[in-house]
Amino acid sequence: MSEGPAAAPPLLEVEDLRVWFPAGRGPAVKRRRFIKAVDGVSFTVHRGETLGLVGESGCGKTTTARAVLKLLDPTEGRILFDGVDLSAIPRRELRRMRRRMQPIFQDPFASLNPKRTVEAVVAEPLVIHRQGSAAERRARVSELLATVGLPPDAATRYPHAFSGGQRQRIAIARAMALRPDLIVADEPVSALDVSIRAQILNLLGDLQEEFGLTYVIIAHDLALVRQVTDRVAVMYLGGIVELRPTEELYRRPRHPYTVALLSSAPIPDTAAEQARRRIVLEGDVPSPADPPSGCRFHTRCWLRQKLGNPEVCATDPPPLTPIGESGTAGAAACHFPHEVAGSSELQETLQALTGASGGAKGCREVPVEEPEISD
Amino acid sequence: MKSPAADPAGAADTSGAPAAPLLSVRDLSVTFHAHAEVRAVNGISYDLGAGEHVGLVGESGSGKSAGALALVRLVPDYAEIEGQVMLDGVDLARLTERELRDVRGRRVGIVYQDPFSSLNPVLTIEKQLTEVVRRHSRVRAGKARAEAARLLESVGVPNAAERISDYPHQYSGGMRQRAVIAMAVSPRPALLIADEPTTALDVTVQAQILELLQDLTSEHGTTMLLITHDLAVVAGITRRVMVMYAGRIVEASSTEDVFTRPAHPYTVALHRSLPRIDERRERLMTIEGQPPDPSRPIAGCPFAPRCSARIDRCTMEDPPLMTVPTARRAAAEGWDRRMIREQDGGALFPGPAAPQLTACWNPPPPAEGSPDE
Repeated sequence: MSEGPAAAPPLLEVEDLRVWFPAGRGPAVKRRRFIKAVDGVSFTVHRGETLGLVGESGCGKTTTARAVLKLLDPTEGRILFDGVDLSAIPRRELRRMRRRMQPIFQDPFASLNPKRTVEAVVAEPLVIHRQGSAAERRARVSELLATVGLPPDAATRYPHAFSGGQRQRIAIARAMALRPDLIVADEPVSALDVSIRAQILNLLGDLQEEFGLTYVIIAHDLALVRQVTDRVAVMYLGGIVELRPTEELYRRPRHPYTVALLSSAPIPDTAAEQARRRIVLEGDVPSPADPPSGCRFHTRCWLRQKLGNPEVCATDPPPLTPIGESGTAGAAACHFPHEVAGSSELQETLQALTGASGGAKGCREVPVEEPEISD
Repeated sequence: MKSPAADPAGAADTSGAPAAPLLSVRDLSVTFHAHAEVRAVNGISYDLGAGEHVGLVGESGSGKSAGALALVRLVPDYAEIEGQVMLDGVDLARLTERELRDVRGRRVGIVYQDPFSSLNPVLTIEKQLTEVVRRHSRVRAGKARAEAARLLESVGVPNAAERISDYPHQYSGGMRQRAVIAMAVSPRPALLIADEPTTALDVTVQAQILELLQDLTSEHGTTMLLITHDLAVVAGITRRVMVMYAGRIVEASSTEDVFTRPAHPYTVALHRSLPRIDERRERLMTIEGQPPDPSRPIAGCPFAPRCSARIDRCTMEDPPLMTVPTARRAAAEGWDRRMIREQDGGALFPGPAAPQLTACWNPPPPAEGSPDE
């Protein structure tokens, strides 16, 4: 998972990324105001790894993904792809780099041109990047269609003839056309029917194994993220609050916001659902035009209230700090990770998640370990 | 008006069933006469007891929304509704449009997925809430405004007294849905239809809205039909669940049964194909293929082409909803699919001892491993 590829240089490095959108002018002072959609985000993705970006709407996960793909220019910060700073290279070179990173979008009804045949849609990246002759491209398309599990005769048909799941397969075939290293998938199954989602998730897994792909998957569904990722970055209001190996995050979360998210997610288990008590976050997410000082989350933090509103949360932004000594357990941005670990709220949340057991589920994994509370 | 006793299905007097259900649906079908004839809902029958919370689960196109909204004829003009819908002894299918308008809102409240679509963007929340209050009870404007403020506070909008003069766009998604819920519960409807009420919301807000719906309906003894595509959503707040597929109810059981011993292969497959927040699986089970085209007639069971438990009979004969023996009985006598038997009139009965029903000729054996209580 995370240790193996750590020796090789990461495929993607994002350093202190900021994406601010101008938001008109302030009312009193004639000063430009900005929506700080992404405000100081750093992470790396190793080859063959799947990183999940999770968070609620407005947290900046999609903007981060768009900046990674250079679909928009960062206000500040660097994005290194295979060691190359994407904002420091000439256009032509950027074009070449772009072949190696491809997007998959949420809605396959919107992302495929209805007037073009499936063959034209899938071949389009090859045409744009002038790859092969027409005959070679045709051969490549039929190979791709087979790879994603579509029949050969799909090539001559139009997108409207296909269901949502099949359209997403077409979109995946297009993304694979240039043999990319990195695929950035923004909510790849949330527009699909429930019974179709597993097909697409399994396909993405198979393609990763076969072609050694690296994924950044953006999703709001915490169950899906647990299933398909190796590491997870939890975002809140433009920043990463916790970045952990996936199982660490779900078994030993160390940020109060992550705990609140896990506590809110519905569990498909009647006993667990009826027994659990949820953490209710007060109020709404603050405006990214005027984020709170100190820790972004402090205005809604249940732990801060419990600790008697310590001043430090409102004054000092907590950096992402490694958890434990091994350095393999990831990092969280909270001034009080030990208090998170020792809280009854965490215990209850984990209990609901692990106490769930039903006849309809498969074999279960090792039970959760007691978190270590050092003090 | 018709009395429940005249109900041709005669379902209400089956022994063991408690008092007459609040809502009794018989053979409800909805057909859209568009380019092609699309049969979205195909003869469904069920009962809802007073104060019950029941989940209606299905994928898009399964007919769950059309079936529920057809109860109060909230379907486009080109849709044809057949069947009987008895609400408290009144057959809604026979009411005139004018009479029905009074039932909507006053007797049957509806909360939609997208709160924006239920709110007028150019009127303040106060104006809209007051309008609802005055429509359903003849009070003077001043009193109605006070009631509107109380309602908004009761659904947990912070600073309600102040925020009531805002416009919908000034509210967050969760607050808008709270305002819509305030409008829906204001006339104290007997039945609340919540159609994907949390699908457009973030996960932390979703939990709060579900809790609010749960609290408000329990407080007033309101019956709730909760429509969702997400099985996990119904786990905590409903007591019974009906699973729809291709316009039919394919399984109807207590919520616990649906989760711990599902009796229809589709329900089983859904469970195994869903990622779970509480564990990572080796690989998700897939349900191959896709739901059938509703504009084409189906011979046999609509799930048969995708079903791993398919037997010959499945492709020839459409299975009705049948009773599954209890896990204990099945364990004692040895599970045999001949133990399933047809329901009288195919109806579902409210009450704690709801039987487990499945529309399957070859259902999975109940309670694998886990003994019945």
